[in-house]
Amino acid sequence: MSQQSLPNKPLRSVEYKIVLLGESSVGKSSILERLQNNTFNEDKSSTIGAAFISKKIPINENKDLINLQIWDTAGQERFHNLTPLYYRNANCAIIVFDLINLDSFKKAEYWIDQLNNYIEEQLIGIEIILVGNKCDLINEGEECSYINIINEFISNHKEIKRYLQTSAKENINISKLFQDIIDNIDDEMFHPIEEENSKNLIDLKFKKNSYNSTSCQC
Amino acid sequence: MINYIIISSSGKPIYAFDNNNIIVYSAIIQSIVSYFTYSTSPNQLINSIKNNNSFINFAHYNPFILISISPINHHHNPSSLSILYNYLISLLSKPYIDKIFNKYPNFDFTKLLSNSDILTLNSICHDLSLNNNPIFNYNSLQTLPINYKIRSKINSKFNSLSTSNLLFGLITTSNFKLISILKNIQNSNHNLHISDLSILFKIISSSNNFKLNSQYITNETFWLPICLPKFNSNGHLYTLIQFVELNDSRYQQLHSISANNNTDKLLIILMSPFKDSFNELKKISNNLIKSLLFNKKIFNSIYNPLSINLPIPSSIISYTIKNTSLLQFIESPSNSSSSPLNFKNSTIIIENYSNYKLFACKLSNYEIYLKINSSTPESQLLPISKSILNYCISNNHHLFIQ
Ligand SMILES: Nc1nc2c(ncn2[C@@H]2O[C@H](COP(=O)(O)OP(=O)(O)OP(=O)(O)O)[C@@H](O)[C@H]2O)c(=O)[nH]1
Ligand SMILES: [Mg+2]
Repeated sequence: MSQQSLPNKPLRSVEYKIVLLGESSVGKSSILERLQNNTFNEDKSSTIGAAFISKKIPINENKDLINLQIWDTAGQERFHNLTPLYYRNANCAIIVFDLINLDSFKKAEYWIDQLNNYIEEQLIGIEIILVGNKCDLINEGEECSYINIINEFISNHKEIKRYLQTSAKENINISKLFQDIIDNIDDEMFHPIEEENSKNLIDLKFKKNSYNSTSCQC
Repeated sequence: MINYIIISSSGKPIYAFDNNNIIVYSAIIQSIVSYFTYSTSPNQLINSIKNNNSFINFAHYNPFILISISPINHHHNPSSLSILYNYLISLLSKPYIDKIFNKYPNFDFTKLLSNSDILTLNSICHDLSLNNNPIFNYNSLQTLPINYKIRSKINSKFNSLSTSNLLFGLITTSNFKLISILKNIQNSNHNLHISDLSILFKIISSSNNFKLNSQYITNETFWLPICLPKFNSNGHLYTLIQFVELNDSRYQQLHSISANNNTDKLLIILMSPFKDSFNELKKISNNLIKSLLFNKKIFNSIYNPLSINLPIPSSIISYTIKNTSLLQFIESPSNSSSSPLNFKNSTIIIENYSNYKLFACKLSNYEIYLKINSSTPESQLLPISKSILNYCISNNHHLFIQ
């Protein structure tokens, strides 16, 4: 997580909210662990409740700052009534399913329906990205056994902006997934960092000048 | 080892600590329990059966039947089954569980349990069967000794950040030693109970979900709905959980203090009755963390807590001292937390084992538990305890949270 010392202060910033949805065990938390620590854990415990991660990413030679705010939700059914809380203000929803588990794809369809209802009600835009995880479990030269169902669903759902096959285990397409999101953030969403806010940013830093870190954990 | 088994009132298996034969067990157990239920008053029926080599305890808290099977002569925590029951309630709340089972008496409850929940159940049963969880054993919370002036500084900082949607807040170390506690309730009918907190602590520590033991510095914040059965079994509280790494050389440099590796992480727990108050609580947590990390005195008092210098001879292997009016305890660094002695009606107990003795006494509003070398004469034990008592009385405000 540690970031290099940066030459100048960012002038513009954006808060970009991402939510991960999908059935239990498809690998949502593993994808985020790969993003955060570049590690993978075979015995990951299922998420209970939800986890919030914020990640600051400077772009354009540090002129702009993207503050990714990511909600990792629990796939376990007993938390489903809370899930709308997490996609309510999202700019982007990553719907994850397991490429070797058709039921998990049905769950992905369910979440996309839920999102569509919400988008229609609220007349807002949420970028929808579909992710088939655990592609490492598909044998070389073969396809996902229900590839036809996936393709048909995607062609009927134009609201799906992108579809990616990933592996958190083998680190396939994870950084591409987030890089694509970052690259597609609408320039109009950036706003100038006001004096007030930049003060807050500085507050979070270590105060002695010998520290180059741009963020502490809070 | 003790086995713990949970089935539904209709006999569907839910959980077994040792899960060989659970299907066979659940049929037998269900018929025994329905026999008892119909022959005496229903609900919350607790009964036990004893045979030559084991003790079987039953508790029927509708819609769950809980059973423990322990070897005879095993020190058994009498609250074990209610602790397990409370954990099940904490997952979903009482009305929700009742609703499901009223509608579908044969409901398969395992569908609602994730692998994290099973890990938590395993870990609770493990603690209960070995009697090695002091919070369960002493029904009190462990404190981190801190100079009381600094602690009151922390408390008032915490208070000043509080908002009306924050109901309870705790600052602890990663092994749940209490640093500060905030109760923001006018209505004193509702209070924070030790047994509720013990469940929350087990949930946090038993799976790798909260990354308690992660070697990486994470900046994750967790938002967990939980029902605290003693506080209010009808509803949920929404809990913000955040760890803060202290073993970061930058803090040591900033405050020019050396690394003692004493307190590795802080844990912030903030609870609200409202599910959408995450952002509000997160702001409180961020400000709180800043004020704890960037104030040298406060940081140092947590990072290098006061050491407890009890006036005790080396024959004392370990100790636990409980303040019975505050329901807080401290214990020696190397504590094997053996099973708690049951005072019943006495004020002093001594038990002899092959190479050590257990001694416990009640003095004023303290309970003192000692594990001592067998060679220590019994006549010394009370004088030692009295000097421990004097130490605790004069250091009470540093050792315990008032
Ligand atoms: N082979 C393989 N296994 C994976 C991959 N990603 C995750 N897993 C495994 O799948 C299991 C579940 O992963 P999690 O990341 O906990 O799944 P989740 O979607 O967060 O599940 P919930 O938190 O219950 O909603 C873990 O045992 C992971 O090790 C992957 O890309 N390939
Ligand atoms: Mg997860």
